[in-house]
Amino acid sequence: MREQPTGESLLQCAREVLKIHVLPQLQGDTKRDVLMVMNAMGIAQRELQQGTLPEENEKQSLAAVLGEPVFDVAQANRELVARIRAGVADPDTAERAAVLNHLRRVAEARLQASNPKVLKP
Amino acid sequence: MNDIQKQSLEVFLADALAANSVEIVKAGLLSGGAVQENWALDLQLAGGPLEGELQTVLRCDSPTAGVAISHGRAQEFALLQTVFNAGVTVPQPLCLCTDLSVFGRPFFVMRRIGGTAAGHVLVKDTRYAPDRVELARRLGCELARIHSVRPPVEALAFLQTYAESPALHRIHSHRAYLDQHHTAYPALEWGLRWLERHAPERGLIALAHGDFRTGNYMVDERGLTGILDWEFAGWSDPLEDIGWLCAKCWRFGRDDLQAGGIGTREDFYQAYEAEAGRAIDRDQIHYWEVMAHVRWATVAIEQAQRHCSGEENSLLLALTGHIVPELEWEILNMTEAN
Repeated sequence: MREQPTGESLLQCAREVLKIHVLPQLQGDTKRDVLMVMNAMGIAQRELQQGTLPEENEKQSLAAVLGEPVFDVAQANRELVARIRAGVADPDTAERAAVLNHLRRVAEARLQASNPKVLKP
Repeated sequence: MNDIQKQSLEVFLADALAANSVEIVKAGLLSGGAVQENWALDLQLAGGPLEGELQTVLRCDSPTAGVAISHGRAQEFALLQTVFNAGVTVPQPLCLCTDLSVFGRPFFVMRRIGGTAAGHVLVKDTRYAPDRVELARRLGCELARIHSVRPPVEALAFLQTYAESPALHRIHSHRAYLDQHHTAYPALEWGLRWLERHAPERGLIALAHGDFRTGNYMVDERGLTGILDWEFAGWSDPLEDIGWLCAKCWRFGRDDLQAGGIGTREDFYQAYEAEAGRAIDRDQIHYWEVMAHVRWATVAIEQAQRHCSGEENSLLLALTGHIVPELEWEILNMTEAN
């Protein structure tokens, strides 16, 4: 058992300190640096929040889109790249919609960690 | 910069600038790019055509530079001279030194220009270049002048030439990079496949800046003071630079101002057309904006890899990797229809 609070909540708390107490006192390059630090902490926090779910979902979705079992996500992505390059998902193909949906789902999960603002309407 | 370097620079500069003597009154390291190091040098010249005070920048490779695609200093100097002579607003190139005994690294010296280049500042703070219509027009005019340089140019013989279309040339080089990378990017391959299927044929080939965007030109309170960062210049389709400037990923959050987050497309296009004497095929620009997103994503992966490989520990490079999902998202939006 790990000590409470979790890493995720520590990051959130520490980021708030920077935002409320530190950032307003800064300007120029130092302010830019702290904004970058806060951005990095936010990404790490959201990745912890997601846990291993995105990778599991990606694996399942890859298996569906490739029509074969997936043991290694990196290898399966290489296979998907090869198929896209060969034109398997070009317009008027049966696979196009499934591949596009898969790419959207995976990109969305990565955006949830890297920059969720983009997903807001 | 130590005293020995300073003295040897002074001797070199006196000779190169045809002065009796040169004194470096002040030398300070400017916060430069990830690849180059820039020094602000305030010079005092005795005798010669430039006699008096001269504010300059010395540009050399950073000690940790490792990006193979950017040009060496001698080449960048030749580029700067070529576009300066074509009437492009750039810091005037003054002299080049490839003798390592002078400064330890090759360098060149150019006149210093004032203002700011920071994109996120520029799009918000209209104290810089307050007349934004004029700025958009000026950028159009400058870009048309850059594109007035056509191959072959003897001084630019180091630039890669190729027989295929510029679009396919880019696609092949991005695929070559991604194929040797440890992680595959299916969404980028989706974009590359779309680019391949819609690739325009080889047409007019011109000198392209290669990174013509907000953040890479300098403005002061009156307006544009210079176009910077020539290290990615090459022969290409002129529309590539236009698509790069207008792409959503280079608007610094100002999506309403589609020309680089500072102006409208039409102000920029029309000034370009007036200077070039040639119409821009507006139907082709979307293609090059997709290309811009794919290219920026590939460069972002490369930059993050410099951090991940341990070559250069940098939070900026590390965070650049996290721009990739956003670019993929936009690529899917731009290409799903056809």
